Amino acid sequence: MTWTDFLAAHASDLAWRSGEHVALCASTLAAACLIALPLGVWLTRLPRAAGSVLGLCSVIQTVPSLALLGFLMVLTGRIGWVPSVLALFLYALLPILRNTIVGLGTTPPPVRQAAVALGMTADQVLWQVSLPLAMPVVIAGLRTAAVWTIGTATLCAFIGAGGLGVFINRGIETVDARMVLLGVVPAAALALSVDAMFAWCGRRLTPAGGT
Amino acid sequence: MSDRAPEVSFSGVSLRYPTGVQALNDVTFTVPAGSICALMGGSGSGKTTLLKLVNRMERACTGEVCVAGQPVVSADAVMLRRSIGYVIQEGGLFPHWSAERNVGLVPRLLGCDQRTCDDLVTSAMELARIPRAEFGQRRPEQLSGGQRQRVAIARAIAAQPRLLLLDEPFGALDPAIRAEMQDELRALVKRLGCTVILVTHDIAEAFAVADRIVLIDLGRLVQVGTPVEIALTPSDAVATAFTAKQSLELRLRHLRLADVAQHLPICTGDTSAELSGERAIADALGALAHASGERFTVLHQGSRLGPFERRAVWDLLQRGAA
Repeated sequence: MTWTDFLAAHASDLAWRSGEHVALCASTLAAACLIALPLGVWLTRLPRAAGSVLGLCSVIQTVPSLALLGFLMVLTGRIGWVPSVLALFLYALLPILRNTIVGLGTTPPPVRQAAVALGMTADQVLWQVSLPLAMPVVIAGLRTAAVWTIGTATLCAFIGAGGLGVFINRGIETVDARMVLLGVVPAAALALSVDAMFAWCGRRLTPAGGT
Repeated sequence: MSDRAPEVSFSGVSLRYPTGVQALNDVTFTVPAGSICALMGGSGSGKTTLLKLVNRMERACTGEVCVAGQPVVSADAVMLRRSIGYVIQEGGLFPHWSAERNVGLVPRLLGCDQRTCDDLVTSAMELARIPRAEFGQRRPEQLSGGQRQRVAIARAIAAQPRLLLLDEPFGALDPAIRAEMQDELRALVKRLGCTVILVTHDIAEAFAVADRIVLIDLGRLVQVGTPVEIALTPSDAVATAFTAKQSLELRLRHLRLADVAQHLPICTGDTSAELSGERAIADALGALAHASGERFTVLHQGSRLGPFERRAVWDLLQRGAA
């Protein structure tokens, strides 16, 4: 079977699995952003708590992906989306949270001091000064989280969450390199596309003169 | 704050940081309304801390800081800060905003409409000699150090505050631009009629700009006086050590004849030279040398002081510098 015939035979399945993969990653990243961005902003005002939370996230990051998926499968008593989204969410937390905290901490002290001394409130300093200046670092965290999530999501097929990892599993089981590539190449393309999209958003959101 | 320049008073102010460092110890002095007061001292002497007490960036453990007779602790901190101009050494301009947006910050915070903001920004940038038409759209990174400080000064005066706090505003500039900015600053604040508190460790800057100098050492007030009083009658060993650092050249350039006349012994004998008390000493001594005059009288505010001997001026200056 030629490559063209192979792709034609799996086109509809590829579209379906790609959709699953995008949905899995998008919901994970959306949840991670909704939690990690505000948490990061809040933690900048609590430096001690920030250290503890970042430490916890780093520990989670050290747990091997398959082990975490298996552990969460047991913990939730379910297979499929729930433990998968939960695992990917935990992995995505660290880069977003860390970069948000680090980014907000990079506001030059004279700039922050002048902002407060001239009568800006804490919220005005955050929204008008610190966040715009931190945007490149925050976006870099989102890009890292997105690429990790898309890559790691291929493992979620092991616990029945579907996605492009299904082709990789099938290829490993049948020792079929083409089948493995059918999962790997779209996953890599998706990761690069999402990374490029976040980079573009970063350029749009980063003010001229920002760091 | 009222439309008049306020008096700022510090009464028995002490501040100890949680680390145990005693930053200020029972400091009491007053900055008269409409004057320029320089806070001077070495690094860590507490001068910036004193400045920050005025706009509540710091809070005294004991004692009271009052602006126009009102304790600052009784004012809303944010509104108090919006009513006080503030410039720091690095300017603290927002790097992601244009110069004109930076300058318009406080008027916008105060809720001025767009037209009023525009007028205030244009006026402030003109006063700070950084014309809006040429520099308004530039971001801080596109400006030189001197231009950035002009924008920072324009931002501080945009809302027409009656009190300005300047924390080593020219410390990062090269000497030539610094001297130019000092002259302009003095002219500007005198035109605006503000009370100004300036932190500096540069005695030449204090002499060039200030009406009064407050000497601080290790959080303790050493001496308060005019530049002439600080230069010629240091109050104690610390003040003497401080004034000893002044060069003779500085005294010759910044002291006026009238300033030193009251400290000179009156002599006897004929005198042919009559000099204005407003002349700088260097200039007056030069004129005497040119006329080969040994004795002179000083005309000051309609009265004639003296006669004095030319040598007595040198003795006085060198005694002060010793």
